[in-house]
Amino acid sequence: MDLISALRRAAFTRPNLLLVVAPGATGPRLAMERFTREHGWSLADTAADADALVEIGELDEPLTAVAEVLWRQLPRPAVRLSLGDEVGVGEALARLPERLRSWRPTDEPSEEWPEPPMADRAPDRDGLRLDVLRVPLGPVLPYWPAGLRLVVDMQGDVVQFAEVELLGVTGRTRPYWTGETRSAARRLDAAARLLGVAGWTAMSTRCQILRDRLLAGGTGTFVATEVDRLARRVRRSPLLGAMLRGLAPLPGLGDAHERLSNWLAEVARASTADEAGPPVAELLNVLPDVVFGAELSVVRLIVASLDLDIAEITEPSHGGISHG
Amino acid sequence: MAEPAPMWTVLVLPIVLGGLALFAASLNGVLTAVASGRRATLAEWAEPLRASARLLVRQRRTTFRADVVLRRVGIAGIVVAALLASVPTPLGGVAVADLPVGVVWFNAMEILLWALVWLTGWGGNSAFSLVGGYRFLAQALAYELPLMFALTAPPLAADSLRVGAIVQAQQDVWFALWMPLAFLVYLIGIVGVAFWGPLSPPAAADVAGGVTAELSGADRLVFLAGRYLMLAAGAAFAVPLFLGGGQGPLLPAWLWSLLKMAAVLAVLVWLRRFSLVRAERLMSWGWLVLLPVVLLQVLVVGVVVLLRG
Repeated sequence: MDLISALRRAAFTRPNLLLVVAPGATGPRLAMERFTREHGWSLADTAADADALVEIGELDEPLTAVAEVLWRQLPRPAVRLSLGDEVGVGEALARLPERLRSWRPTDEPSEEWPEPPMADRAPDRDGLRLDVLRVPLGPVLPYWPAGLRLVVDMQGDVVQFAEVELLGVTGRTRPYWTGETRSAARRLDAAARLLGVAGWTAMSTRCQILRDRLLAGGTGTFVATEVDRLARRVRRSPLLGAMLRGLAPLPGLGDAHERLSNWLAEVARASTADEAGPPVAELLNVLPDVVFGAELSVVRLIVASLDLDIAEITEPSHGGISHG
Repeated sequence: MAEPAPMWTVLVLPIVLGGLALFAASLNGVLTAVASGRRATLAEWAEPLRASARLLVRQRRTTFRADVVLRRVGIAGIVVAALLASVPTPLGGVAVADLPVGVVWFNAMEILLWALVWLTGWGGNSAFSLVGGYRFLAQALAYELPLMFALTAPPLAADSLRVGAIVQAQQDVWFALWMPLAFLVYLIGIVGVAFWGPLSPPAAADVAGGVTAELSGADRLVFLAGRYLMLAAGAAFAVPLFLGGGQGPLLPAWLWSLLKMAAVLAVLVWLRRFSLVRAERLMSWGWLVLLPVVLLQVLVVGVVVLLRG
């Protein structure tokens, strides 16, 4: 029995976390990312690899339903916790390993699986009848904007229809990225996500470290020099260029590669205030058109390259925006 | 020449290959830690062992209407394929079996992953894991043919498909030195087989882990172990094929083999610092660059062999 308990002790020193984030709850989300990075914990890609489900911010009914489904999918032992603001993050997470070790199978929920829809058939671009599968992207997906669900119809790996749904926007939702320091940090956060989707994890982590340093009041010049170096490496990478150049060009914003370069250049120049960018509602309006006909990995890159902050939506939207 | 190998080599193979795989996982963990701003402590080196303990005590879950049998065949099969692929790989001068067709054998075992990775993705009955499985096949179409031609270069120069004979043919000069392009294409192919680094889209974060998306507990442990074992098997096979096997001064041959294997493996692990390659780019690079390059390399090797008589 000693071996088992020793195994259990070691097993849960670094739990994997699955985050369900409400739009605008960026503060606690960043605190969470920082804690996990500094302590060597991981953020899980899916429920199957998570030890804990962490609800961040105030979840509305649809987001709570999402959390509920995920919670039932988490392999046991598992712990569920919710965090309202960044103050309690460190303390709540520090207790997590002990909670997992002392977990006992008492409140085992009944195992219910949401049945995945069967594939249907429809004519494709070339008039052939091919399988169509409806796949929801988000709201819980690595590097994905909080509160966004993009429902796509896929034929093979090509998107034939897309519909935007917004979750978690309530009357109390407020955007986090306000003021000069946070605007600069926002660029780094967006860059970290896009680089993360592109699979350049080392560079993505570097952006997160600089973002957190900026938010902690780090000296602007040091961060600016570091970001400048990073921006040059990003610009020069042939692999990243082959991935992002020519993707989703938008008037005034350039393609995905130019948008990424511009974000980093803005932080290096320490002048982000003048670059407001189009409102998120406008971007969400064009999103279904932009991803139409794209392959799944390209859809992910496009969404990450638009830096969507759902919390900036002024009134809760119903029904969604669609493209036929 | 082909005296049967002693029975104990069968026991040594999993230990050595497992050790190499653990080394790869540890190095990966340490690189992650350093990139995250943490120190490379002993705990970070031991992280794969802790992570294994975590997966062992956790529940195994499957998805709704998963094809459990096919999925398990896929998951466990990768470990088996990696071990079998290493049967002709000599440590020093001793292999489990120095087959007369050793190079073809390695190729055949490595190609089993086409089926195994796809089965793992398909068996999960989930969109993302299925996408991961198909991504593996799409990538394989780009790198497999160049890899197969890269594998033919050393046997052509050594006039034998037997790995032992290939090592002997490198007594004067390693094949990596006069057929560097074949060596390079071979390494790229192995990165593809183990869907590692720039070729890891089958298990990437943009599809929530792809083939690994629905794996939990022991299933996940075995699958990830299989992937590291395959990476190790590929790195190990590069040593007799291109780097002179156990040849080297002072140290015993088995130690030279081991050091070279670890060095090749470290280089492969380090490739994780690059971003992903998009599938359609890989396809055009594979067929328009890698394939002509490796064919040219085989032609050069053929001409050299003819001139030497």
